[in-house]
Amino acid sequence: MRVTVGLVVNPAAARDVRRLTSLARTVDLHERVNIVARVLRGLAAAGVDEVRFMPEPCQVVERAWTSLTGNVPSAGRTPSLRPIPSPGPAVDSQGTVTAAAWLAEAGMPCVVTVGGDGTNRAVALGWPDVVFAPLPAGTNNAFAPPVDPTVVGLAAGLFARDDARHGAHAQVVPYLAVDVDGIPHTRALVDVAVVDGAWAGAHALWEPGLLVEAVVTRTDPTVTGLAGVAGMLDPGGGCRAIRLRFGPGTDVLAPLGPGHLAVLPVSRWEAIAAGEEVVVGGGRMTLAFDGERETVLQPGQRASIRLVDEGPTVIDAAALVRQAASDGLFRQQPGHGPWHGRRPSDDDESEA
Amino acid sequence: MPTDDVLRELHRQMVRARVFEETIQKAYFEGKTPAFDIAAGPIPGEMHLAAGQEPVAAGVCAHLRPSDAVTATHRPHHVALAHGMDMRRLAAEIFGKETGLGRGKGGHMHLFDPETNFGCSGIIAEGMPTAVGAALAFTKQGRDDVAVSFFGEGAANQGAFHESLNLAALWHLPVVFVCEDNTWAISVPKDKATAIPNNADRSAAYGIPGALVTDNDVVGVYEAAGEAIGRARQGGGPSLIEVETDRLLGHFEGDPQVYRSAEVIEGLQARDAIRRFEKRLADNEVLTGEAAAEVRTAAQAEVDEAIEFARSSPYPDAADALDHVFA
Amino acid sequence: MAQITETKRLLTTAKAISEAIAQEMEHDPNVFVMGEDIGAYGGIFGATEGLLDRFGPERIMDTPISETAFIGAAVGAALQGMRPIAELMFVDFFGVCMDQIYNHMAKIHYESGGNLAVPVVLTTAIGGGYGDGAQHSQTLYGTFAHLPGMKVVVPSTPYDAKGLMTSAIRDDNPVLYMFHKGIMGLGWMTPNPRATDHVPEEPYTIPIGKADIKRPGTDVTIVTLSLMVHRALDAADALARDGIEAEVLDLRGLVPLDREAIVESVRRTGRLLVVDEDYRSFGMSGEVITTAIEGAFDYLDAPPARLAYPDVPIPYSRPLEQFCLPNPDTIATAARQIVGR
Repeated sequence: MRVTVGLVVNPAAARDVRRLTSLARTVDLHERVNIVARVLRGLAAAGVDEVRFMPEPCQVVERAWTSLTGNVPSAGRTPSLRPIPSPGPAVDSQGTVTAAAWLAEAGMPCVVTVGGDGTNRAVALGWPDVVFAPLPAGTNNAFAPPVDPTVVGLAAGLFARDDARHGAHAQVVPYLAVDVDGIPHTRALVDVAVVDGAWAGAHALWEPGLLVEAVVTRTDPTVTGLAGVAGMLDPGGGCRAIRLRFGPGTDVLAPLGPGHLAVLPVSRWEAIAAGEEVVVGGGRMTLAFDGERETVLQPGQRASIRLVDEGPTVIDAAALVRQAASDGLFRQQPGHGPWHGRRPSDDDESEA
Repeated sequence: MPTDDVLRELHRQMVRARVFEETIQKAYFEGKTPAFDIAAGPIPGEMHLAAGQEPVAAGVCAHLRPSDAVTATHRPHHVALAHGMDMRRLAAEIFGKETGLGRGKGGHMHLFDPETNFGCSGIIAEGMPTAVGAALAFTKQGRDDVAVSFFGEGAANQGAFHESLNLAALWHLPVVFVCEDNTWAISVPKDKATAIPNNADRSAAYGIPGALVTDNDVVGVYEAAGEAIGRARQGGGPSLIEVETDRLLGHFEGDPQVYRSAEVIEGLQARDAIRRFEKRLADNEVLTGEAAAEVRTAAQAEVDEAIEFARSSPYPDAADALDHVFA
Repeated sequence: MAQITETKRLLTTAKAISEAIAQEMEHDPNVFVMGEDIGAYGGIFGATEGLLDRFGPERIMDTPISETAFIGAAVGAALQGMRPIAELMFVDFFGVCMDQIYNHMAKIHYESGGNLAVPVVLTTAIGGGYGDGAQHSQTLYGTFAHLPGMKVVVPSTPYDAKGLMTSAIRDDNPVLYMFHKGIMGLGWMTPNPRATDHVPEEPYTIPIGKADIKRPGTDVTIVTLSLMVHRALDAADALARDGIEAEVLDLRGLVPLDREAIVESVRRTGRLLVVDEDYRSFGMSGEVITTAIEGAFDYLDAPPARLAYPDVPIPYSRPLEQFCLPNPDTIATAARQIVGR
């Protein structure tokens, strides 16, 4: 059985104006290549045969392959790499959307993503039922917990080989469906914010004074961005969706961005149930999705934001690998040669 | 987030620059046809026009005062105008007249204006150390002025770029480095010259923040530049902004542009940043189409007057060539 | 011209230079110094000794090895009203930063139609004779003098060094100030008695562009610069013992070139020998001879001659290097040939 996994790398993540407005790290090309190289090693060790990847102008995946197949001290396998067919390299988020749609069509068991919240959003737009193994390589990474890429690769590979066994560690997450004037417009995985002003500009959100309201799918005080703001208000909520309205009321100290702690006045917040619609509009405003300003609403336009329970699936790499370790999948008898992710049924003996 | 007044001013500066470049372009070709003779006509020599790159100049210079130092390149007009240079003295210098900024001694690539603390150089990347020096002087003089250095993506492979970033970072100087990435270093595209995809990443090698602004968007530039310039002014040190922009015309006037196809050039025209900006201004009811047309008419009048001033100004006396070597 | 008082102070050339800088820095807060090892080290050749302790690191700034950046920064700071002194450690290193020197420092004043001044002093060590090889022994004043827009000052004595440095700092133009390593009076170089001399304590200036007759004479004019002034004076002493009185004319710099002094001297002596440690062809010696011909052709009793460094990269091995350098014997021999005795 030939096991294939999808790989989407966003070469442009972690490079925008938040380098200036906050203490956001820069993930330069070298680091990105390194991350992908580690993923490929993990995938190979888990027994993945092939990786179908989205071509992009910086050729991060190709460079990672070169670095692995050159003279590297710890020689190891790498899966074979094949770009997905496309008219050209993906140069923007639409390219990511298209690539994700192709991976959906091709029936990939899962997709490893290297980018930030915006990257994952684009993948989910192209493939609403995608199974993700996300890596935090963007500015805000509310969606992707910090796990070493090597382990994410391992987890994704194990899942791809045996999703029945490991499926317990892949959770369906909700998303926000956004319609504008009754027409489906886009989706967001983490948050939709309503912002004063009518410009996408430098896209990122960093001026707290511009926030009008937000709907957030997760509350997590340990991450930066609006999910972190929600988490400061309702830390026990886990993945509970929340609607926030900004204005005089309660002042909340929260990390709006990396190193960027702001005091935000929150006038109201309430839990949002699936199917519930939040309607915004009336004046001229900008909608931001997963931390990036994008859509301008003119006066008279209405946008509705609806929480949908059944969105993409996210592999919890940490939990999956923990379970696999405790099941003895990573232990082998001495003398059995290089481990290559044998399934339990392949084992000669169970754990000693 | 710029106010509506700022948005209209950004638009006005971009239109002024564009109209100036278009008008200079026509004047440049006078006398040079039918067979192109670079030495002939009222504007001899090379001419490097910045049509398409206006968003960078407008978005950055909106945050500057005349006492802030600006250095620019062989393609300087949009920056010079956005920073407040007197258009008549700029035009007169391009025409080589006595009334020009340099009394005709500098020409279009060597513009120096003490009133707006502006200088430029025809040597790639070599305006960057000058900006570093200005910033150094400001720290010694106790001024909260900043220096801004404009350069292209080709310059980022020159030694002066690396030395300048390192020295500015080492001494924590109030200088902002603005990279106008128009893809083309004459005929060589960025991906054939630069080992990494984004010069915004190179700043990290020198320990300073670098941000990428995409899509030639004047509001994106305005926001990013506001952050960078504000940071420098408050003693936060240097930073780098890389802006994806478009060079609509050739490297120089007369460039046959054999290295990029007609489709590519049409594609650039199709995404003209000024036109896109005008549409959004209209959609957002900040500036109607009629008002935008009036801005263009006013700009053309201003440019025509400046060119007329240049044409009617006298040439310097020939023997003046021997003056001003030393103060 | 300041009153020169009698003094018994003996200073090396290096100390005279650093004293001039210090005295200007005392009264003008716009003066500051940048360069490699000019701080705690005091300059590799001692030109900035003692300045760091006196003025602190804000004004005596050690730089990274980034000549383009810090010399360009000197230009940029000068344009904002400061008066920087930047040191290019060896003139031989100009290759890495020449654009900032000749295309920017030297040209901005002119390109601006005279509207902007660039009051930079660019100090640099020149010269060889002690085995430092082809990349660390050149003088190159001809190269810089050839390019318009910067003054070129080349002192030979402690007294001249201080006065010329003060003038250079006060000059609103870019000044390239070139000091020969062999005249600095450094304890780790071959001792040179002419590198130490009386220097007045108070500040004084020497006009840039004025040559100085270091030794008056009647029989032949020896025109030269820098360390070769010392060699020419030694040669003149030897010639005097044979009844030949050589006039040694120290140009003290090349831009502006004191053509009147050359012409005036040659008109008197009728004979010219140029001694030049820079490469023979296309440089200082050709310029001086042409100046003499242009101004004193009818007064010449013999064709002008030059004793210059051959057009070869400077060799390392002692016999090779000493072969190339003019010395008192070869200078005296050349002078005798011109004089015909």
